[in-house]
Amino acid sequence: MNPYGSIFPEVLDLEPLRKKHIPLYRRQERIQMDGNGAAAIASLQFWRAPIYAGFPITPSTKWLEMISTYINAGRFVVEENGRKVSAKRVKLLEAEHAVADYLVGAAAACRELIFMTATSSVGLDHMTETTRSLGASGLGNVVLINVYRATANYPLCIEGDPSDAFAHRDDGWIQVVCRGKQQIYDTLIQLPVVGMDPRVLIPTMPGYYGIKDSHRSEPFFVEPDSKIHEFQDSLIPWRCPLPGLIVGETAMGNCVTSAHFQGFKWEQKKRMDQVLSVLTASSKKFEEVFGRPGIVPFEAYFMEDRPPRVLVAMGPDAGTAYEVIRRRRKEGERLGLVVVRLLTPFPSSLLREALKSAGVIGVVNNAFHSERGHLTALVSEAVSGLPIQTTGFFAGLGGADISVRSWEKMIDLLSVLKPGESRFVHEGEVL
Amino acid sequence: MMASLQKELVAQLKKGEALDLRADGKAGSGLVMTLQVFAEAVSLEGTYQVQEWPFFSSARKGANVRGFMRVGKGPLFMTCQVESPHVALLFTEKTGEEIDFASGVSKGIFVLNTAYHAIEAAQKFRLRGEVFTVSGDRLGQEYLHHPIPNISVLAALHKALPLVSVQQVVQALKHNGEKRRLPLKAIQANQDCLLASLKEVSSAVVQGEEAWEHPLPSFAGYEGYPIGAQSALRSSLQNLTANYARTGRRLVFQDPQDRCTGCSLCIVNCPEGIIQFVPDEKRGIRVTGADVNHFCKLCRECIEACPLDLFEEVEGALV
Repeated sequence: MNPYGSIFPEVLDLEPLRKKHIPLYRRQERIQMDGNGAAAIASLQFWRAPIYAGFPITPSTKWLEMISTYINAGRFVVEENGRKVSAKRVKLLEAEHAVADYLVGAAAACRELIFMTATSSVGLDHMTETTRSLGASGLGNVVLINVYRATANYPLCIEGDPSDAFAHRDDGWIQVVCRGKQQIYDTLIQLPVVGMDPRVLIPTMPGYYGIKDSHRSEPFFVEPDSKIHEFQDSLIPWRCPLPGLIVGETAMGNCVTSAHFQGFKWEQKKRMDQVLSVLTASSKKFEEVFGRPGIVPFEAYFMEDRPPRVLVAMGPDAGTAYEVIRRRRKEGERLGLVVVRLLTPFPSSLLREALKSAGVIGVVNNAFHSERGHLTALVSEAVSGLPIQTTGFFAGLGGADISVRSWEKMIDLLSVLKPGESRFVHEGEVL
Repeated sequence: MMASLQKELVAQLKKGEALDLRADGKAGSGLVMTLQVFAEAVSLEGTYQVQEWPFFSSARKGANVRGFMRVGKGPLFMTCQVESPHVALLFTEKTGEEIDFASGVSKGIFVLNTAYHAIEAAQKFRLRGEVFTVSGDRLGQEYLHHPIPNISVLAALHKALPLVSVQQVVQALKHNGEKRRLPLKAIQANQDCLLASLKEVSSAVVQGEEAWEHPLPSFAGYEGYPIGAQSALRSSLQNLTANYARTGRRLVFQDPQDRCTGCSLCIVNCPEGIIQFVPDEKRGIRVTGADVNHFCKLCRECIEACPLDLFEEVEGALV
């Protein structure tokens, strides 16, 4: 008996589905598109994704709209037993909670296929009951694209602020932050492979900032579908096991006593601990196939000469930080920049190694936090015990612009603030 | 013939420095689409990298919106908004009266949708540099049966910043139409409008007066922000949602025969709570009007809800 439940190979024959796939791209092309478009294109290129569930919410709506546009234009229509059918479908549900529930059922039934949706802000909050269960479920074939948007509706704001992502760190998903269209596209291709690895089996939540990235168009390279399939199929097992069920038969949402509950969590944690090594290995494979680096735990810039002052940031605004630091280094200032990509599990040890020679670290938080900032807390924890001063900033809340003046100000403040202090910075002013 | 400022900008681009562009207008003016098409045309030509992104709120049609574009030869790292653009566009004249669309530009390239000639527009908006105007509303009405200036402004932008050929702009416009699944007839009408608009762009080099400076808006801080949001923000009279309404239209309530039954449908359907009423012995309440000046965004909920059609949207400015 399979400890993970019965498998019915004769019922679920994947080969016909793979053959039905109509490629979107047959060769590499350079296209200009926004972030939701880049994510939608990647999603549509998977033969393993026959159905997309969704409920619209700004700023993620365009992902769903674009998927629907392609599908409803008949882009994936094939002939089956003399009938014309679409090999891909959109399932529009009543609300986000229903979307997440739908993903559970679909993903549990077909563990080798990839089930995707996109949501933002309170949409993700509305899914919470189910996303928390999904984190532990072992259904690594669920991909939830989180288009960051401020979660607070007092007042309502539709722009990019990662407070939704931070609020869902404890859902137990793999969370990866993207900036720029190429990262969004590449991450979408690579991440399901990590989630579906038998050592990991954790659903994945790739994310990018609303408006700042979701609505910003840029040129990027799209890859031929065949190459994407080659990459994914080489790493996704043909038969995926589902861990964590007591008696063996598949069921979702068993009721257990504390004796078992803790055991499940222990297993879940062990799998989470595998993410970094599996991610690194798949990134290597990604680079071999596509010639571009795969997902990294964090990007490090100007860190070669072990600069004494380092900014740690996240998301698209890091681009401006890069430019400001590049200019100031030309004037002789030794500054470094670290841009976080892997949010959960947080790459603490690697970060500690990268930052160990720094004297002062300034961590830039884009989401409201009652203490020093989520990211500041994570980075402080990573470097704890080392003789490093960690200071924090709040900037770009609700997707507010972080101007060159603001970055300059934050760099200037690095040598002024006391350890543990944090400041709000906007338009170059300290609030 | 390229004027000197244009030449300077192209030379600057070739040297590897980025070129920044900013556009202002009303939601519904087609601003975002214009930038998308121009960005695609320039980007896919292959010489330059282009980023283009909008800035808008959850505003209805008629609210002021902004768009940005950054063009560069190498990879573009800078992601912050554009404060001092090399090229500033104005899609809606009304927006130009409400905000300074040229802020941060003491001398630059300006592209405006207006019936004025470039020299007159420069005078009106105090612009110094190279000014391009096109009568976009009229051309939109003529070719697209709707006073939308996006295609004409695209033509004027191409004249102002000829980074790619007309054919490449036409191609990108066509592709954008296909992406939006527009009917072939509409795609053709867009193309006709673009080609016709190219012939109607007026331009002028304007030296201007010393007093015509456009300083950056200064950040006044957040002092005095109310606690919470909705109600306090409302009583502070900031964030006036009436600004989101279609320009030149307003809501009126007329009940000369005293027909209002007091059914209250308008009151419960109004998302802004601006329906005015008085107690009435027989009917419970009697609606007397709507306080449209601050918060009516013309969402038409009351018009739809009233069984007696006592609300109406009419031409006319707010008081």
